[in-house]
Amino acid sequence: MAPAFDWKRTFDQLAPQLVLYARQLVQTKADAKDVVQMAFVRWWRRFPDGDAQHIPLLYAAVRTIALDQRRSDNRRVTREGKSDIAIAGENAPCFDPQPEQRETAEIIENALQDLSKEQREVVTLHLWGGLTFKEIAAISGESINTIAGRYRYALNNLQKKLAPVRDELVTSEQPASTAFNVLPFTSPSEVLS
Amino acid sequence: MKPEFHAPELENLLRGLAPAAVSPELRTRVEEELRLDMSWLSQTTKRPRAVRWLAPVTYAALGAAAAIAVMSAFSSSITLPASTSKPTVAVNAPQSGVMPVSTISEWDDVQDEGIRYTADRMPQKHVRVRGTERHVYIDPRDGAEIIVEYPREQSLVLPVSFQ
Repeated sequence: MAPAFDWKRTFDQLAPQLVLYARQLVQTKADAKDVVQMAFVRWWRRFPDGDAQHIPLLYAAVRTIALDQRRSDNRRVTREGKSDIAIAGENAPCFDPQPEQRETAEIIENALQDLSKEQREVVTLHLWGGLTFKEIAAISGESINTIAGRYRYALNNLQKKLAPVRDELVTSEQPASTAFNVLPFTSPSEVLS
Repeated sequence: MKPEFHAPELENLLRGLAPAAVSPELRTRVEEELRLDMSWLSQTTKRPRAVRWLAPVTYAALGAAAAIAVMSAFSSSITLPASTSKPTVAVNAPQSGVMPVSTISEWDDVQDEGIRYTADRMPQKHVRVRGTERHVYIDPRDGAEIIVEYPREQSLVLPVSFQ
């Protein structure tokens, strides 16, 4: 008997965004992959129908597991006096740019790293995860105004940070509509509302 | 002076970057973990839930349906029992930070209370329906599942005619 929905298709569509989000929360790419694996399996077991309305819960699961893992890693690093966990894999790129986007990707990745982790989380969930502010607020337990404020401040910070290299970025920019599909289940208008 | 980014321009620029693709190895790991679930699913024949009380109450249910139609014409304040046990997604989100997942109404027992006569000597069949209503919510912050279950009891009046 076939499963209720094709998890592979859903996984392929969501996994890059999930790993990107998890990487904002844990130290290494390997940790992020572990987190996504656990979260996706847990989510699928609970929602085998793959209903799109439950996707925010998948991000919530990623967040919960990542925070648990980070706490336990912090304890371990403190206990063992090591810092290799924080270093391993940290330089692996978060994005998969087209050849002409490589420089842009590097600049933006650095700019994102300079944001506070709360701002980075909102930007990641909204722009690449396709979640609305309301959904992000539910996941993080904050008010919608707080989330919208963080997003606004994050964009302001990025604007300031990237203004000096605006010309380089804009000339190498690819049309967003053809670049990549972050919205497997929702239309752009729904996400941006 | 360099021109500044406008927010939509910046958003488009950011969205234009695709997150790094995941390695096939991660997909394989997920697949292996889910394989057990899949094999379990394939071996498990989902049997329809035995509805032992259905046969004796079939006629009552038919009558109830007719009564509901009649009563709804006279009073809009009567609440009707759900006619199915299939889960349905609640439309109205509850207050606070939990998200509704499903609402299930089930009939557990139907008790025939016999025929009674109204003041103008019209016969009516009285039926008492007992059931359970179960609401499932999930707290997205920690994935906690909250199940609220409460009993329901309704008294139905069915029209009767003797031939």
